[in-house]
Amino acid sequence: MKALLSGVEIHLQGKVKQSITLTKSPTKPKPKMLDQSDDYFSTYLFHASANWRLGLEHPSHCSVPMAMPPPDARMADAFAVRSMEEVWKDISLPSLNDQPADSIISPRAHNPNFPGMILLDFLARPINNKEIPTPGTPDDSNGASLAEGTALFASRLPTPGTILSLNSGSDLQYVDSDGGPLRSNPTLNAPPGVAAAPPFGSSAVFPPFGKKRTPESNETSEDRRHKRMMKNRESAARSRARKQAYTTELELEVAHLQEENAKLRRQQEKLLSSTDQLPKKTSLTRTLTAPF
Amino acid sequence: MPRGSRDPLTESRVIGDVLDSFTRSIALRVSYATREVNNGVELKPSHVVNQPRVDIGGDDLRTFYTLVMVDPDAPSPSDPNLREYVHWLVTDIPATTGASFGQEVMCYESPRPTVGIHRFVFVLFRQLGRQTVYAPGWRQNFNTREFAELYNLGQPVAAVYFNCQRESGSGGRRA
Repeated sequence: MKALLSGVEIHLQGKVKQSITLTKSPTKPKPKMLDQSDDYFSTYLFHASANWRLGLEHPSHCSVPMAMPPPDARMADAFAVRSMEEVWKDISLPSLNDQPADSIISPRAHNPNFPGMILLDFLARPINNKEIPTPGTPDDSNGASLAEGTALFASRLPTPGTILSLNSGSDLQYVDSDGGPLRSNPTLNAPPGVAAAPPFGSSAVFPPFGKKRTPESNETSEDRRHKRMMKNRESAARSRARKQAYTTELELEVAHLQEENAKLRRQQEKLLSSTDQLPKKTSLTRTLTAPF
Repeated sequence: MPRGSRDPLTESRVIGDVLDSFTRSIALRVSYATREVNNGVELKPSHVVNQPRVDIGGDDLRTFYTLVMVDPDAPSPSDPNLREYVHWLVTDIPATTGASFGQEVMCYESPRPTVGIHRFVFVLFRQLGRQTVYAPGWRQNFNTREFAELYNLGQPVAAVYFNCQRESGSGGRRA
């Protein structure tokens, strides 16, 4: 049994590795609430084990789960218990060979990269850079199989589709109540895409859905207020400049007109006074105009 | 603010935003029907729908002038990303005559400010020769300084501006 388990474990490792990196499409079958015989991975495990066992007789290259009755009910149960937590634990380990068989069942610990953490806790963490665990290079140690996990920690994010599928996968089994943040969100199993944001905390990673689609820039209300104040100041300055310019113009006009007025008055006066000096020829004088 | 400047064109930042400081040498009279344009007067869009009457000074009929009308506050004075927007461009205006004697290379476009209070500036340049000035390809993002340099127009000889806001504007005043 032990040998079989460990054999399948290794086989599983390969298959699970594949499955995690491949689940990028949002078109997964609708994830259901958990049931030991129903969970994706336990199903997978059946078939993985079935494949493995069959493979000895009929070499089969397909990794697609086949609809086959479980050859061994007891084994199926054992595999069903083995959840995403196990897989999670196993995946990250260079210390794979050190695993005693019975520790497979326990979901906790044994993950040196994320000590004391189960997968659900890992997934429940908010996505931001500050959360990188103490061994500073998760990328190296976990390898490609945790590509998504490390991607979550690093600043680049997998597409919502990818995250969502991981989410759905994580619904598999709530081993303990620490899966709270995930479990309590009823929308998690709802249509893909939108629900990805809440479980990961509102660290402003995704644009807030339901509002305008333009991303909310990273300015606080403080910044916005400040901007508004500056704009208002500029507007007030323009207004003052406008008023000042018009006032100056009017003053100049007034000065100009007053000058013109004064000049014209002077001219007119001069004209009037000079006509006084002209001799007025009002009297008639007799002159000889005709010969007779 | 020092009152030594005493120049409406400077105080309104027309000199600064559109032009460099210059010396007026030619008379420029612009009027929309009965309303004469003096610096800083406020006109409504309905007052300026049609092109104004423009008379210029000078003495020699063989000297030609270019008149350009721009809006440096397009589309909004707080965000003038289309500065400057050309509303009118008339070239080859003989001295002592008016705009109607020149070549209208860009036809008059009625001011239609939507946001804020805009300045509309008339600038008069002396040309080196006749038929030496050409229109830009589009109206927005015009640069009067560069335009003058491109066609060897030198410094302006006259300028005047007015303010205009949308028809139903409140004049920048609170009720």
